[in-house]
Amino acid sequence: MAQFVPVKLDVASDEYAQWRQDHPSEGNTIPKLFIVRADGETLYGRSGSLKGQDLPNMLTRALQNSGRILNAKEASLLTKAADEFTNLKQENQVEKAIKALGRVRKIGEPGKIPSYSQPASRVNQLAIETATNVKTELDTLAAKMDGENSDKLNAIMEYLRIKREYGALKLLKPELASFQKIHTGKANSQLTREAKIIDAAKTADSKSKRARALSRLNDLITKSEIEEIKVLSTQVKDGLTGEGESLDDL
Amino acid sequence: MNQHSKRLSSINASWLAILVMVLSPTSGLFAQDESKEASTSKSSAASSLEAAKQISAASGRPIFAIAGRST
Repeated sequence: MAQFVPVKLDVASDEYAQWRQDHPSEGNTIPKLFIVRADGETLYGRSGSLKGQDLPNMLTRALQNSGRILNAKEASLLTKAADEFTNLKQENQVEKAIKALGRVRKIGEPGKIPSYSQPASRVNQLAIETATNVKTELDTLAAKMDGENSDKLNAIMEYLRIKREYGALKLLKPELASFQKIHTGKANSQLTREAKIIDAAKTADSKSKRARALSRLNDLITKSEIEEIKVLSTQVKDGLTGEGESLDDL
Repeated sequence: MNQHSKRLSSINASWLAILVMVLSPTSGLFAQDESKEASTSKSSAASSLEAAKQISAASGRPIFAIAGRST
């Protein structure tokens, strides 16, 4: 595989004048050698030719700092994943968008792909931006966990949504695990367990799942010890049955 | 041969030596595998700096540039 893109520069040209500004180098004589990484970082810039093993050694060192080089399939996969992610996110199909980004995992974890190429940088940037936004959301939710039961329930419901939608993004794994450990443990175990039932009902996507969800919501409405759970369960049940289904229909 | 032309020929010789060494198939540094390359990469020098930048950005391959006088 070709590992460098060789190019000759004419020191009398305008493009070289610009190149010199962009890529600082040592010495004023020609020829001058440059190694420039795919993101524009100058890895080497010096006058004079290198002799013997000096040139291969310098190129080897440069390659070690150049990140992963992509083949055509990999570049295409990354571009496609970034496009799909952007489109699905715009359509608010977050879970599918995150899955689309995850398809590049064999090249690297989105957000940590060790390549300076544009397709990899774009995927990394999308993953990092998404993770940063979600981390801010989780911080807001964590603050709500000090409040009343209604605040706590809202926060846990939001946490469950985030986990469902963004859980496949490995960059968020530590934050999601930390929220779970701190806020859904012993003190809030019943609230969390029952919130999960409501979350499952909200996302039931088949007739059989909706039937099971309605049955479990009815249990919560009659048996839960937490008033806020009863209220929310009733609202979600009304939403489900309002869609034209009732327990009798199912 | 006057001093100026001596210098020019010395520069051209070293430039050529570098290119031959780096682009040599035996060096391995620019060995080709057409089926696996991103973009329209070539083992020969890119036709323009802009094309080189595009190939580099698409594939992650670093640019190897030699600046000299055009003869």
